[in-house]
Amino acid sequence: MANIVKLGFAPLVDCAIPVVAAEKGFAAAEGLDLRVERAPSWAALRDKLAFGLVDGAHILAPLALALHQGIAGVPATPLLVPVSLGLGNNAITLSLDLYERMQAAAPEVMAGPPALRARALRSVIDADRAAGKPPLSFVTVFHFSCHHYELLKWLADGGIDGRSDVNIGVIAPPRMVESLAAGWIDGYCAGEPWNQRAVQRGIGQVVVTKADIRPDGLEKVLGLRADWAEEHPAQVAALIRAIVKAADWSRDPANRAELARLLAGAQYVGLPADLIELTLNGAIPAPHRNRPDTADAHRLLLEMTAAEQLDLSEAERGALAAAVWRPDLYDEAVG
Amino acid sequence: MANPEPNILIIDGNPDRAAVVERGLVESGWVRVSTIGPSVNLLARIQALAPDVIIIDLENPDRDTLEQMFQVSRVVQRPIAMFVDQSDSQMIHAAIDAGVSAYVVDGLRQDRIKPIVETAITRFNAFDRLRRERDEAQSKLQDRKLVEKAKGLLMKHRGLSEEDAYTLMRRTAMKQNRKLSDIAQSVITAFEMEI
Repeated sequence: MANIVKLGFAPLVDCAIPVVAAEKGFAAAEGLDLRVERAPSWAALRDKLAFGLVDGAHILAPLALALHQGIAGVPATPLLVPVSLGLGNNAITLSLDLYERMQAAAPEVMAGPPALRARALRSVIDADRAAGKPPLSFVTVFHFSCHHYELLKWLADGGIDGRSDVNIGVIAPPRMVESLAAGWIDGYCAGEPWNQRAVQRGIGQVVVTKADIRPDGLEKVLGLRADWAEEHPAQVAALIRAIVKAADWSRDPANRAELARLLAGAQYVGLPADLIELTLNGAIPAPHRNRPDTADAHRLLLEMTAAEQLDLSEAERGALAAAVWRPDLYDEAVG
Repeated sequence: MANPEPNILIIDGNPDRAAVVERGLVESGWVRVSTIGPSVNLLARIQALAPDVIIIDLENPDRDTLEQMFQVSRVVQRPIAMFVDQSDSQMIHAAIDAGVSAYVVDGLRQDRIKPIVETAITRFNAFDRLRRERDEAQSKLQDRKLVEKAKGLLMKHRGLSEEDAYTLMRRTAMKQNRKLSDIAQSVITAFEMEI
């Protein structure tokens, strides 16, 4: 078949939709030979996309904007987002030691809403500073990620400046639990199963989940190379339809166990199926969230600006959001 | 720059490959080469080694940690950028195909880095070719053992001559469009189930 489309993906539960489109025949039904390629890191996925080794990818929504804008470490690569893939089910996990210190410092705050628990962390940081101790260290999955902005927002809501009061770095999720156990970091913001794993091993405690910080916030999108999309309008439309049908299939509770088994394969997520099944909740967005919403891009651009990653005027941000987020392509294909 | 010789760091989850790349670089005249494996405190170790050039395998999830050094941060004094020679996209493709990536301290001249990256690409490819050849040789040896065992079973339990036993399996493989070793495995399984 000549209609080959190559998509990169990161081995996370929300790669489900493109994987299902390829594996369950939804792409073939649209006349596409969809090939999905696993990338071990966001950097590797970005490189494959930027240098044209894939036509598109399952990608962090802010990374798509950063890549288009040319601030992601490689030459600017014009991208289009014709469909959204996931809202994420992130959480912030802290070391037991830090969690207990927060409990001791401000039990009334810790008993209150999780979104405001960083106020207890503020007390701990003040005590550390007075004692001349080094700042606490947190990590996220990538600097252009919702995880990064969610951590910053949670800290800010507790009166903590993520740029000066603590260190924030990046570690691949599979290494986070061991880094926490080794005392190398004090906490992290990651998707599942990496939070549950630390809790199960008795190393960490989940202090807040994404639902408390940024409910319904978009996290992953399908990013397509704009040059490829312009040359292949029919394939783009077919791909959107295949993705939407794959999302419908993936959302159906009757398919949940089969989906978990599929994703458990070493070429996809490569984790036990029962663990994946537990974390599938919330990984597949509601039908109306598959359509790209420019409001998500605007919000992400503001978060990137607040994180000092981006310095654009409001008009420039608007133009960037409109260039990358393409609900019109979605409507044309599905409508 | 204080020292004219670039300080090269190889980060690779595969110590054998790291050794091959290191040797390649040293043999080509770069003498300041060190290697580290996966590490939980990667940034601190990189800081301590202060490399000018970092060669890292593409499969390494630690790449996302390295990416942090793109941002001018308090942690890393010397900003690092991915090595992208805009005039030579062919080289980038070659690097990605070979499974290697390079990062350089910002401001280092591209023409000084290029031969280092080229050497790394060549060594990655050579290592992969050797590994593939070794895997193929092992699997061929394995296949031959299976065929010999199946032949022996057919000779012993069906009273066939060695040549007839071989011909029978060969013909079945052709008819079913399967590999001879698959047929041999089926024969072995069948006899094991009878016993």
